[in-house]
Amino acid sequence: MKKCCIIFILLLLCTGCWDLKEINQLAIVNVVGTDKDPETGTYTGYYQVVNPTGISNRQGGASQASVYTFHFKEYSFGRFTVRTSTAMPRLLFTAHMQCYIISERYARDGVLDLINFLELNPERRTNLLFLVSDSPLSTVMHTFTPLERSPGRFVRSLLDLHVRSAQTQVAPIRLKDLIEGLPLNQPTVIPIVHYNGQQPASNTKEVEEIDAIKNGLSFTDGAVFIHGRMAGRIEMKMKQVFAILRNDLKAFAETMKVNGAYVDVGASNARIKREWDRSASRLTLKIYADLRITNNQQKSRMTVHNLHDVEKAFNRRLTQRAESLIQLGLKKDWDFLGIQDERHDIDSWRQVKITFQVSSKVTTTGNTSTPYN
Amino acid sequence: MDNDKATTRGEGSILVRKGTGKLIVDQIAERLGQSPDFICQQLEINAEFGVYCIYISSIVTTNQVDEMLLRPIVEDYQLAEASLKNPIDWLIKIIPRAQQKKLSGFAEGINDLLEGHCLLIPTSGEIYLSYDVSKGEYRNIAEPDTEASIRGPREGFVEAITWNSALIRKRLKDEHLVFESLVIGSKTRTRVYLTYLNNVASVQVVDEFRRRLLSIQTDSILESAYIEEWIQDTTLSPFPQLISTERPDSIVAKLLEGQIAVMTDGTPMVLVGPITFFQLFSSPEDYYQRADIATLSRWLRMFAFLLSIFTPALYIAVVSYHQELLPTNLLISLAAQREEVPFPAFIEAFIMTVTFEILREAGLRMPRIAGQSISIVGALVLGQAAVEAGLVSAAMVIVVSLTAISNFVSPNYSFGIAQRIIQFSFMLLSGLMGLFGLMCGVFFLLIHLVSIRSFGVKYFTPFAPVVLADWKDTMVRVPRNMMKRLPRESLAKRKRR
Amino acid sequence: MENAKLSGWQMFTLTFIFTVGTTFILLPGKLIADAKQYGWLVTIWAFLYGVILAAFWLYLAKHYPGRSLVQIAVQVLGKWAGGLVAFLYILYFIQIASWVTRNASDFMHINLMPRTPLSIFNIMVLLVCAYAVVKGIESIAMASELLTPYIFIAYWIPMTVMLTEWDWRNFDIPYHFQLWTTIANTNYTLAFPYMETVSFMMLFPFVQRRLKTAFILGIITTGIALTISVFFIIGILGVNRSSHLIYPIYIIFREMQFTGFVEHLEAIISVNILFIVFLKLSMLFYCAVLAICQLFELKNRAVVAYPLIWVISAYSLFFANIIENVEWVDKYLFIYYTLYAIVIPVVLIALTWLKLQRKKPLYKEGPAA
Repeated sequence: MKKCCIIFILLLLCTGCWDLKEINQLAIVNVVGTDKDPETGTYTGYYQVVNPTGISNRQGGASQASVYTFHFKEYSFGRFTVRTSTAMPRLLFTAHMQCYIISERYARDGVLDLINFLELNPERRTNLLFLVSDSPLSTVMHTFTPLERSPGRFVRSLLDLHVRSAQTQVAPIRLKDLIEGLPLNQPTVIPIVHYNGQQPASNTKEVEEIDAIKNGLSFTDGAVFIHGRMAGRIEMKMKQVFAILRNDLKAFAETMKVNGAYVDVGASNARIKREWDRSASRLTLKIYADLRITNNQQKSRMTVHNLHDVEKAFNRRLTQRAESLIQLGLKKDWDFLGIQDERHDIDSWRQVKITFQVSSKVTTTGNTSTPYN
Repeated sequence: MDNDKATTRGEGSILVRKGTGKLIVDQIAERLGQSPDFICQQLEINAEFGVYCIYISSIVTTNQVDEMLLRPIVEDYQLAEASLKNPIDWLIKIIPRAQQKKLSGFAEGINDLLEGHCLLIPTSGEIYLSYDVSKGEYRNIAEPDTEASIRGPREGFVEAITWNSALIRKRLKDEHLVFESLVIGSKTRTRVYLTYLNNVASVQVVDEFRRRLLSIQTDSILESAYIEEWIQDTTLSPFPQLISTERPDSIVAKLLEGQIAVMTDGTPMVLVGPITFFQLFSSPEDYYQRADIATLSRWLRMFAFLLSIFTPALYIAVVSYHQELLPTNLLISLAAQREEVPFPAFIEAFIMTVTFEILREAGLRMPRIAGQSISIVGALVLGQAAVEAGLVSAAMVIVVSLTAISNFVSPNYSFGIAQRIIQFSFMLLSGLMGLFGLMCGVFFLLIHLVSIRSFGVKYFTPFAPVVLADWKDTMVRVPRNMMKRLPRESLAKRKRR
Repeated sequence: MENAKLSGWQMFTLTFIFTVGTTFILLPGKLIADAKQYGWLVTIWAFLYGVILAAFWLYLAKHYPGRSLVQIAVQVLGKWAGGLVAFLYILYFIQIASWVTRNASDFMHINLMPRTPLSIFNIMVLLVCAYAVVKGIESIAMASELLTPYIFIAYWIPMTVMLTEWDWRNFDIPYHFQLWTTIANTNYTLAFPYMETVSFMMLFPFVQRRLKTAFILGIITTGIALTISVFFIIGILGVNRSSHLIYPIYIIFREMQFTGFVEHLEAIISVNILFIVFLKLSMLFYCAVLAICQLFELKNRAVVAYPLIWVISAYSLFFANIIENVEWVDKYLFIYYTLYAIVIPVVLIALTWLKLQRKKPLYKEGPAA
């Protein structure tokens, strides 16, 4: 009995290895780009696959490409997996994707189909960065990047750096934030990636050029997503204010004129408090921030009075910017503050009167107390 | 050997005089007379009376026989005339030796002879005398090789059980220290001491030890491992259920905690039990170091244990099944390394670990002088050249060497062997089923471990079942002044030291 | 019967692991879909209900010290009727065991190893558990004693770290909360962990001391842990998202990310789930084997345990996929479990009272005569 059992177990084990896949059989996908033609409804999928020997500099892979991009056209997402096997010699492995990039026209058409596909699929993650490209997707996907050898890591490192300087844990620009924002009326703002240049830097040689900006990617504006559909775009400055008001951005820089000269301050440790009055007709946002003076072009001596001027100027400036965001929201019908999500008892969020109270304090100056004249 | 000339050879000696003594001698000679070192001397004192002196020359100190046994008899010739009536009393009187005993019949005599005694058999009478003149030629007491320590005594046990018991007695001058002598093995007739402190060790456990020792039915005990296999609770287990050590200080420490030692003649390894799993992580040196560093090094040993059983298995599981668990950069660098490796990770790991096992085995067996060349072959050929030839990945070499080094951390050799067995089976499981297989193995191992008993003591004792009081000397080693209570896991009679 | 002894702490960990079981991966998604942001309230009354049930079973067991459920049934109902009830319970244990097996293999199949056939997972898990069963309840209890702290730490630390993604707005979804409808809709929450606990009536005789405290405390701890889990899931993932997911907790662990390097922590949760499943399954398996041994007066557990692997693994393939399973749970589970968890124990209690009533006058007459 016992012997039979043992033999049986061994036989059972011999049939194992169904899921065995060696690392060197994998096509490690780094970035996925998706475009959808709104008219025909066909998708174009771009898979940027890492070339491991190209990336690790140990084996002198400098001359080799660090990534290769495959692209396919299909009418349904599920078919891509089948299609990839026609051109890729390795197994499509998507668990290590760094970001999704979708084209602007697809974003404007709505990305619910993509979200559903990704959430169903256990192999794909949804906590990766989600970007919209306003340049042609083929250009963005066919571009090498400087400093970081794989574009995925380039994007990831760049945005991670942003997050760190913003003093927050995570930036809400991941696919999962889009998913969680689906039922909300508050928009989710996703960065727009832009390619500076005419020709894609599709050859490793292009990366050898010293001008890193010329043929490179940059992140400027923001795409406003409401209910999984891109409703429009806002400028970098507006994007920043939006993040400040959502308290996703706790540290930021601001420039204003004090006594006729430019003063740059770095605000940090920003805190937001929302206060409703009884009837819910008025919302007050109280913003607190600590300031650090990074650039002071004033001719005068730095005194307490002068610092108060700086604080006041900052408060005014921030209020002004916040109000302009609200104005933009009213114009475009975007509920930037998520009033509808917070107060369901309100008939029209547009009627709510919003006031800002900014109070700040200069906590750090620099090494000099008075600028040189 | 002057005496040899005066000796009549065993087979040829047909003694004229009749008597019971003669019969005994004949019977002994019949059984042992074949061997050339069997010696039977006849001392004629007068016409009616004589003494046979029998011994096995190779295992006795001939000098002692000459000086202490034969000389008095010969010199006291005159007096003998008067004492013929009672030869035994006369012999006892003229030979003042501490280790003598009276025997009768031949069977006992043979046993004594084989242990290096010398028999003085008067021609008349059934009783004769046996003197212990056995040769004490043993290895000198030296530092134990396998359990070296930086601080602490340098003495190790030797092959002679009497010396070993002396080493213990020297350290533990307590009236309650008991050595129970048993003889096990129908052919080897090995002396075994059951050693314990009778006011500390639990009576049930001592009885259980004695019962199991007495129930051993075997012809030979050549090493304490024989005994271990006979008396352990679970045979089908890679884990040692008794600790074997050759350090007297560690035995004494364990005796003081109520554990019981089994000493075997002919081997320096002494068995101690009952033990728990966590005692396998403690080394005698823990108690000679400062408490804090002892605690840390214990954690290090536990960590090394985990490393040695899990590293290769986890590596295989992650590299060939669950690549999504690796950080991206690591994945890419591993992928780059494995780009040209022709084998699956499991085969690669298997080849490397088996190679290492062969190296280790070779290192144990070969002469020390050859060690240098083996290590060069191992390091250069198997490490560097294999990686450069693209046969194995550099990461695998790291994994295998990490495993091997962690394995050596184990303070107990047989525990180290257990780790290797587990390591291989985990590798197999994760090679076949990935993380899932590994977890099945872990749960199986866990169930196996908690189900082991060592003389009634549960193997995982201070943690399962939880005995909070015993945590002071398992995960940590608290300073001496806080260890006033005896551990409960050894079921000691007393609570305090 | 095995000559085992369990301490109070061991009983506590056993109860905790058993009730947590597969509940904490399977329940939240469905629960949040049905009760929205009030899901965590549902778990609170569910565990109160669990405590009441536990007290009820303990009361029944108090009348028969040293006897397991099967033995009580045989003693109260006689050899044939009692044997039938005992047989029903054996089926019940086997059934739950096979569902647990299926839940585990489904989880593995969906999330970790999609190409490995389900039956392989079943057989591997069951083989390991059968070994545990043969080694006895003491070994299972000690294993759970060892693993519980690990499971606890490995679960709560990452969960707490994920609180950085907390959003209070997730609790502020327009949803009209109706108590009775919600209770009716989520009755499987009452059944799923808490009514299965009737299996512990097989283990009561092994516990010498502090049985009641350990058992009830175990259920309370689970209740609190589940409540906090559901609360966290709502706060972290949001009602909308978590009600669409089958394994919300797994997704939380998957999306965890701190300091850039430490990510992909789903392995931790998978390992946790596997350990919990091993333990729960071992307990159920043990109950089934013990019940069979007691009913048919067998001595050797191995003879029963190894063949039972095939029965359980075959039965666990009863549902074709997880959706069928979830729907069945939703519709019939409560009613089905009521028979075993409430109806039969009530009958047993009633008969016990009857017997006591009949005995009492006799007893009183005794000294008078």
